[in-house]
Amino acid sequence: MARSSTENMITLMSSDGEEFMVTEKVARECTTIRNMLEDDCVITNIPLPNVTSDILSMVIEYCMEHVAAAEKAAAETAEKGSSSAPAAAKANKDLEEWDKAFMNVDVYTLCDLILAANYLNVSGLLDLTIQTAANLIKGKSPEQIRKTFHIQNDLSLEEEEKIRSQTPWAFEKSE
Amino acid sequence: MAPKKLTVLRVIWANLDPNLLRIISKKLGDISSFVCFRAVCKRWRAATSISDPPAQFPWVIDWPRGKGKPDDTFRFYSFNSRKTHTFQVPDAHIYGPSDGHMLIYEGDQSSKECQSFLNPLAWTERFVPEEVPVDNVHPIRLGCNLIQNEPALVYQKSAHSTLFFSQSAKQWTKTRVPSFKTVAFYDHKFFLTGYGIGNSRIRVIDEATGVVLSYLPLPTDDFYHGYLIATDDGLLAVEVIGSISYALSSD
Repeated sequence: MARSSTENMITLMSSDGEEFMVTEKVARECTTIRNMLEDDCVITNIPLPNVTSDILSMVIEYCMEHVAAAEKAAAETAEKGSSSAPAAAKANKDLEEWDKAFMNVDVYTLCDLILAANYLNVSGLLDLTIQTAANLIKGKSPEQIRKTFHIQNDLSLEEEEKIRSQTPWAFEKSE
Repeated sequence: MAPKKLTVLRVIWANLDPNLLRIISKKLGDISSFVCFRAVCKRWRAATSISDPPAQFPWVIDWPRGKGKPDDTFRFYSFNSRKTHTFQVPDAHIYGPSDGHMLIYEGDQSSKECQSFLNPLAWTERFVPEEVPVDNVHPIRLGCNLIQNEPALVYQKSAHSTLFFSQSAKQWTKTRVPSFKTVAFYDHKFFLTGYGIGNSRIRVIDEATGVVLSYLPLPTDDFYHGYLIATDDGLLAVEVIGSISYALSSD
C-alpha cells in the first residue's frame, strides 16, 4: 500500500447530498473506498448513494477513532523501540470502551449502521454492530425479540405451534 | 426521530438481507437463542437453517440423580443466554456437552445399555457402537475434535490409559496418559489437570503418541475444583463454586 506523508483529502457525499471531507487514511478504513482509490488514484470525490448523512457521519467517526488509536499505538512503539504490553492492553481496553459507548444507539440506527458497514466494507464496524445485534437477541423469547426490533409476526398459528412443538424446551420461561 | 422516518425504517429489521441475518445468527453462541431467532418471522426463519446452528458455548448440566431426585428431568444452564432449560431423558446419564451435542448413557434400569450423542436442537440421536475395546470403562468427558468439527468421546480405562471414540472414523483410539483429575480433548490433544497442590498446570498431551507437548498455567493456583471443557474456540476452564453442580464429578 502506498503511503504519502502529505494528508490527501477525500470528499465523501451522502445520499442526501451532504459532503464530508476526510483524510485518505480515514477513507481507506472502508475497504469499498480503498478499492476505488486503488483502481483510480486521482479520485477525490466519492458519492455514496446508499448511506445517509447521519449514518455516514457515524461511520466516519468510528473510522477516525480507530485510525487515531492505531496511530497512537504505532507512535508509542516507535518512541520506546518496543511496544509495552500494559500500555497496549490499556489502549485496547479504552478502544473497547469507546466502541461500547458508540453502540449506545436505537435499533433503527443499529440496522442502518450494519447496512452501511456492510456496503462500505468496514470489517471492524460490521463485527461490532453484528455482535451488538446478537447481544440484543440472546436470551429473549421470539415475542421479546419482535418487540425489541419492531418486527411483525407473519407466522401463522399453525406454523408457530409446529415450531414450538419441535423444541419446547427452548421456549420455556427462564427459572 | 420523526414518526415518518420510523415507519420507513421499521420494515428494515424484518427485511434485512438474509446473509446479514445469517451472520447475526452465527454470533448467538447458543442453540436456544438460535431456536428463538428462527421463530421470530418468516424471513428470519428462511435466512437460517436448522442444520447450520451457531457455535455452541458449553452448558452446565445438572444431573438430577446426583441430587437424590428420582426423576428424569435434566436442566442445563447456558452461560451465553444466562438461561436454564429443562428437558427429559428417561433412564439416562448425561455427560458433556460438546459442539452442540450431549453424550447420553442410557440403560440404568432397562436391559439394554447404549450411548449416544444427542443434539437437543434437532432432537436427533447418533449411537456409539456398543463394543468398547476393553472392559470396565466409563465415559468421562466429551471432547471436541476440531478438525472434523464433531464431538469425540473420551474414556478412561485405568489411571494410565485413555480411550476416545471418533465419530467420523468410527473407531476407538487408545492413548497412555498420566492419571488426571479432569480432561478435555481438543484438536487431537488431551488437556489434563492433575490431583494435588503440585499439579497447578494443565498438561497438553499428543493424542497419537501420548507425549507431553507442553504445559499451560491454570487460571488460579487454587483451581483444584475446576474442570476443563473443549469448546469450538479452544479450551474452557471452569471453576465450580457454590451450588453449581455439573455432570462430571471426579469419581
